[in-house]
Amino acid sequence: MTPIHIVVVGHANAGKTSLMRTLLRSETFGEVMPTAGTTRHVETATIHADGQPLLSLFDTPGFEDSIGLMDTIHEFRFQQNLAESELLEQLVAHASHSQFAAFEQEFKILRQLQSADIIFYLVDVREPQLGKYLDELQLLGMAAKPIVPILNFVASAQADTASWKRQLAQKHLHTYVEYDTVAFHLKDEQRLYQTLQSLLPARYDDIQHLIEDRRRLWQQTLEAACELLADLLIRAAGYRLLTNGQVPMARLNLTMQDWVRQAEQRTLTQILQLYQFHDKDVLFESFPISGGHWQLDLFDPDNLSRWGVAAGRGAASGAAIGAGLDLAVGGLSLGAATATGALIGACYQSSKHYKDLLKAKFSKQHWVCLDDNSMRVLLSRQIHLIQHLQKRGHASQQVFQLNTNNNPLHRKLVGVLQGDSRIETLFQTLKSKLKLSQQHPEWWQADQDASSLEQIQALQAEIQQDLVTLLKVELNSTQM
Amino acid sequence: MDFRQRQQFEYLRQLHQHQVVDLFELAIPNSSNTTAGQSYQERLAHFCQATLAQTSDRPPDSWLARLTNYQQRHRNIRRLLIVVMVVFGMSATVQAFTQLPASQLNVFWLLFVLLGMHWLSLLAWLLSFLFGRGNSLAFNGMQKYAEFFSHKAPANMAVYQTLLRTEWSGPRLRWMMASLTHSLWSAWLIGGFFMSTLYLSTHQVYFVWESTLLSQETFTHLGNLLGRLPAWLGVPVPSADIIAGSQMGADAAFLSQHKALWANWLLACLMLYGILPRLVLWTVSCWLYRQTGKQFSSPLEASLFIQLDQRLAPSSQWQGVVDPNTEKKPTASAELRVLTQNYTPSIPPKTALWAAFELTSQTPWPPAYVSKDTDMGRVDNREQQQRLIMALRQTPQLVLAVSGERAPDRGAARFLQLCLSIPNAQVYLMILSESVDARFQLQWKAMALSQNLPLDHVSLQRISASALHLDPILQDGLENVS
Repeated sequence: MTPIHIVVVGHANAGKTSLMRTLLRSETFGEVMPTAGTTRHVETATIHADGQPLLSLFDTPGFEDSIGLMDTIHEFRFQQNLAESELLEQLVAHASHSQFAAFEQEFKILRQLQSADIIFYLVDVREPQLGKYLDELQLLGMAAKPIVPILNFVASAQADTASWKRQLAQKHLHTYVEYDTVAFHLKDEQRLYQTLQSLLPARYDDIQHLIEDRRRLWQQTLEAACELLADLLIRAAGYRLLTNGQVPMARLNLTMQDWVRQAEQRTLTQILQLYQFHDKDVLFESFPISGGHWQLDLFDPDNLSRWGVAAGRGAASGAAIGAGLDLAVGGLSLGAATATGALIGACYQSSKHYKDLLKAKFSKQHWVCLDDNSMRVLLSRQIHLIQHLQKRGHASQQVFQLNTNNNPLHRKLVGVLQGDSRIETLFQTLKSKLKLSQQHPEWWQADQDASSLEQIQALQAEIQQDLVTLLKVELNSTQM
Repeated sequence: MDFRQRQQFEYLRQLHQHQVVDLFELAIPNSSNTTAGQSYQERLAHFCQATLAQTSDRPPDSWLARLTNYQQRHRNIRRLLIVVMVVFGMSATVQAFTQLPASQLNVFWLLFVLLGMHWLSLLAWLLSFLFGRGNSLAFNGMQKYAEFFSHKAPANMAVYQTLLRTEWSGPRLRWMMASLTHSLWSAWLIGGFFMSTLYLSTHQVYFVWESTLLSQETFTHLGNLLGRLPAWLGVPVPSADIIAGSQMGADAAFLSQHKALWANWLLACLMLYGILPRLVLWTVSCWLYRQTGKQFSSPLEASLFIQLDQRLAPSSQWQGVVDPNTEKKPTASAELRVLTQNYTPSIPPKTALWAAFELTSQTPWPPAYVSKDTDMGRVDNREQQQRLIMALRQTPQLVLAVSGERAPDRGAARFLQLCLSIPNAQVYLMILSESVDARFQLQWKAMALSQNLPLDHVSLQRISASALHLDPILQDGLENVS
């Protein structure tokens, strides 16, 4: 099966490489810079469905002087007396002509057009409909290949999408795709692939396969990320230190904070890997992560406002004293125990459960656990991270600043952060479930028993489901 | 996906978690394309199979062999236990027969000795089955056993954790323990039955009953009750009269006459109340054990496997540069020159034409101080470019306004060059920006320099939504000129 040959073209700086990165899910493809002519060569990559290359994408340098090129081509055509149909072929054959010397970059595009099945034409909709852009479309017309205009930056405030659609319609281009390379939406990508389906009916099934594969990946990745987060939450809730009051509270707090920090870091690394941000050096400018670490420490008091945590009282310090253990939980297994072996089993189990509790009672010890606010921040940050990663194009270069209001993307993000009561609601739901983790210190002992294992797994699955539900709703509601 | 496959996935995960095998290192996209087109599950199954087939830390065994060896060992232990139980059953029966006075066997006592423990344990099992909640005792037992035999070696731990999670926990463990118990008791009882038959075939014994506390009716009733099922199945059993008559001290001729009946009764009881229920329960628990294997959920949705699959079948692949760049970026040295130069923008002459080069439609044009005669309007396409060039041939002085928020391209450079190529051309480049420091002013200035436009012909102008604000110096200059 030969891959579908797609050439990505557009004016310099329209976001061709960004589109490539987002489609490829690779933040390292090519080079992205806000100046014209960043990409000066043709670079290629394949998109796979189930391990099979299906699309072959060619990233080209941008058109920079289509007006000049058009004039030169007119001249050339007149000199050589060429028909429209043989023009492209002859142009490529005469690329080394001195009259084309200034257009080396454009000729790289023309060469690619020859072998293209489909042309993706990137449009920066923040731009006015200048003559040079229309000339670019004219040049692409020489290839006599289907053109899919891709409207980039539609989420921007300066976007003039309607005028562009009108302009494209005048050029007989009615099937365009809105695709913001910065704010990724699975639906947009699906629409792009569906457009391919309609243009290449012979490859309909193959592309359908790709669409389904991407949907599966998206869903699986979300579920896996929620699994990691659920695991972190259960562990953090279950973590506790026993103290008899002789070790200063501050020291205990530090020990606990360190433990939670490390656990959070492990989860962060795993989630980043999951979303294929393998490269530690990748710039997370649009999110407070750098070098694979959170920029602000988990226990920094600023976190509360930053992550939209409505703190009832006090700041998050990390430590909370003595979460109450529910005696009834242990009692249940005793009451239900019957017959020979089961009785011994139950006693053994309950004694394990009570051991610490009773020991603490008699020796006047108490526990230090993670407090609610820290738990909130922990949850909130990871939720935002997953939300961000789900929507993040691998080309994202925006700067994350909570107080800049000139970018609609930022405004949207701030809105999510400040007015999000859903995370608080989720936290309240999870709190009662996470209590189980606090009430079962034996879960985290080295020789956890069968019921512990099962209960942990059940709880994890439950919390994972809660998270998945929230995140799915989140993403659907912000879908444009 | 069958249980075995799921178990192997779990094993793979345990090997990874115990850091015995680094799966991420092994998961490389298959270059020979054998996995191309396979589904998620097929790919991982393929990978699982290939990885488990590798030689383990204990050559020449593969990883899979290590798991199956353990399972085989457990099967063997189980078989050995069954044999031992058969022998136990036989010897216990022989003992029961020989402990009684040689020729007169106390039939109810014998039955109790042979089946009593079996009944008690069956009852206990039933109760714990009906009312017991977990089987933490059994699990803990298995865990201690696993810990002991793994010697804390990670590879062994992986094997045992796999078995603990897939076979030795939850309902599966319950049915495993049940089938073990029932199989052992079946073995014991079968041994007993065999020995009983052998003993009764080769010895001439009389069956009697005796009691200190109980009445004759009790035994008659008990004998009848137990005999009902064998009788129903067509086994000849002693009648109430015979039972009543077989009391200790009865007539030897009477006992001799009914000894075969009693022997049948005894063997039938052993079979129907001992072996048969145990065999049935054994079969049922074996079946349920297999069924519960299906409940063990597939670990394939775990993040580990999703990450592995990302490596096995990457969603995209870089294929390289096909048409490399041959020219160098020309602007670097020009930019440097701009940065090192300090200058005051010079004032354009009053007669100069004003034109807006590729500005956005939001940018106001023309500025208030530009008269209608000198305003050339917006230059957005080829025709407008040509019109401006024509006009320049008449008046070769031009103020060209460009947007500092967008980068200059070669098209802009070519047009500037075109303007400058007109004899006696005086071109002023005005970079418009909403902020004090236009984003691309450096690039514009560098471009101007590279087209040999003097730098003092380049100025920066603030714009707001409604009007253009001129640079104060320029403003003064313009006013003075006018």
